[in-house]
Amino acid sequence: MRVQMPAFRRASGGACRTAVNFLIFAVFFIPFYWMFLTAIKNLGQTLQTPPTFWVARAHWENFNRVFEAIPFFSMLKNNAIMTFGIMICQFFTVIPAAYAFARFKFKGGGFLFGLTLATMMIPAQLVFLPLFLMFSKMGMVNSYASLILPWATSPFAIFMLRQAFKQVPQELIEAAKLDNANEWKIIFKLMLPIARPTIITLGLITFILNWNDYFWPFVLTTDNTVRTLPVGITSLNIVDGGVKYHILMAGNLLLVAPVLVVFLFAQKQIIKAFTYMGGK
Amino acid sequence: MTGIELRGVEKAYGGNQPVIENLDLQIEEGSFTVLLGPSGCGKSTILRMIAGLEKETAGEIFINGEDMRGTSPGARGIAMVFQNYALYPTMTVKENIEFGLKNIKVPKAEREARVDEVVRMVGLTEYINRKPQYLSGGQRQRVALARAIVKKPRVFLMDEPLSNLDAKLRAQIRTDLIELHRKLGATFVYVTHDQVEAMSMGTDIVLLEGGKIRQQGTPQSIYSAPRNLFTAQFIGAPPMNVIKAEDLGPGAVSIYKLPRGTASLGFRPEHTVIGDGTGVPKGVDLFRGELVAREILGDHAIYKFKTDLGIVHAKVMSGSIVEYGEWFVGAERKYLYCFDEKGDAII
Repeated sequence: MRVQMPAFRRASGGACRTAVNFLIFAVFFIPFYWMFLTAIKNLGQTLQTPPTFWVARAHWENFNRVFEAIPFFSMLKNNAIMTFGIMICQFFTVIPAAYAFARFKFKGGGFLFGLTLATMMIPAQLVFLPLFLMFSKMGMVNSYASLILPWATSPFAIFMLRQAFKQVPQELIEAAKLDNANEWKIIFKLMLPIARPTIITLGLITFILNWNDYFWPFVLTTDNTVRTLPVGITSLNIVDGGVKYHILMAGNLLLVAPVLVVFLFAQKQIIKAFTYMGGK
Repeated sequence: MTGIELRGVEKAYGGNQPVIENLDLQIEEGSFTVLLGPSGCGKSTILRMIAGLEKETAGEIFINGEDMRGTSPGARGIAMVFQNYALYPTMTVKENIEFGLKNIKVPKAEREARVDEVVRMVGLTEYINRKPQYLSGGQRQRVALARAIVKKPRVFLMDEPLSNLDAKLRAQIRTDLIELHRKLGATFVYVTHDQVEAMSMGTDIVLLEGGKIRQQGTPQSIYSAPRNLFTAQFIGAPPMNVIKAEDLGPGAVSIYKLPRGTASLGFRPEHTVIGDGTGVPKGVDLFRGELVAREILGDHAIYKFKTDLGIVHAKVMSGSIVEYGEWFVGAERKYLYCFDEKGDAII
């Protein structure tokens, strides 16, 4: 009996774990599968009850329909310009700010950092109207600048990166100073490589948030020439004669595909960033 | 020309009471000087001021005769080994070692040669492309040393570099450091709170307490001629036995013909005499004590006696093991150290 008990327990524990793992997998995977499946169905199949979980023949032409319905490639280009524009801007604003807040003691530093964090608590609904008015007065509505500038920095990223910089032991910086490294060398050869996982993670978060952002580009643009993909995809929803789910989903699939690809490549770095934060 | 000189150096943090006040210190060129003292005595602060990592509030620091005021840490001709090694985590062993050379733009060929030589010297050839996180504590320590050596500094500063290592490795690296010091002929300034490290490696010991130098000298002179009670009790393991003169009874100073002004007496555990009360040797004063603990360490043994005058330790190099029970302990007159009220030695 004594010998059998642990074996039984181990087996049941293993089974339990497998079940939980499968459940978690299902929760995350099924929506994606459903999106993919719907994207290759035809209209009849999408409305069928009970729904089918497999289609015999894929309707790839749904994707062509997306390209016909909206200026897809122009919107994709706009989306990329906006997202990468924001990422580049944040790179130049977040890193110096976080570095200054982490490393230098200066008058009003604490207050400024508090102010930076306080901006996180202002809801977007509160500022979008004044911002819109401001941009329209400056004649910047329907321009890339108006899509990029409001997100050119991120208090959240400043906060996270400041923490990462703060975790670097003072001794390391002193060692670098003794090694004749100037402040720039310390930043580029020491601090940034150490904070790399955090920077990549923040970059990814920024990428996903802005790539999928619907609200702001929708408010700030009236013209398809600068509109981004989420706005375009959503417009597939508003067509006469009912919602064409298969086309909507085909559009969605095209929208999220880049995010998935980026995530696959950056996965290792993200895990590293979070273990760094927790473990050390 | 002295290696390093501190003149009237003061250090205070913010508006607080200075941790170091009016300190004069001379470190001879080519010496292995150990700054020794309990934690909070200011020894690390002194080292960091020499390195230029901490700015002195007042006073002057000279390295090889040059005033170091306004000279950046990198330009002082020094290298430092930190307690936690401070290796750059994202760089390989090689990159760690050559970082300093790259920053002063040493040509590639010379750089490679120097790195190669140092790596061989500390025995890290196989690990050259590893990152520090994949090295053991001892290996990391050697990378830190290599990083210092490769710069060919006039002065090596070391801030408790052995405190993170286990006892065996510590003993080994201790002898490595002595060898290294002899081979390089540079000035070593070494901070520690461990008197064993100080005694074993130092050619010169600076004993500090509360930001003040209590005694400076060779290990031998500090051991055999302590100038005050603090030095006497800090150096030696176990520390010197100290007995208050008044505990010996009224008029003890004149009865035992002790120097005038004697407030306390000391003798080293090595000189403790243990007797059974019969046949007291001439010139030895014994008093009753009970053996309460003993450590048999092979080549020697350490005994702890509880007496009416306080705890007395004895360190006996050989002979038969002393059994637990009542004994008489004491010391020969010639091994007695006398201290006055203020704790200064009476010579």
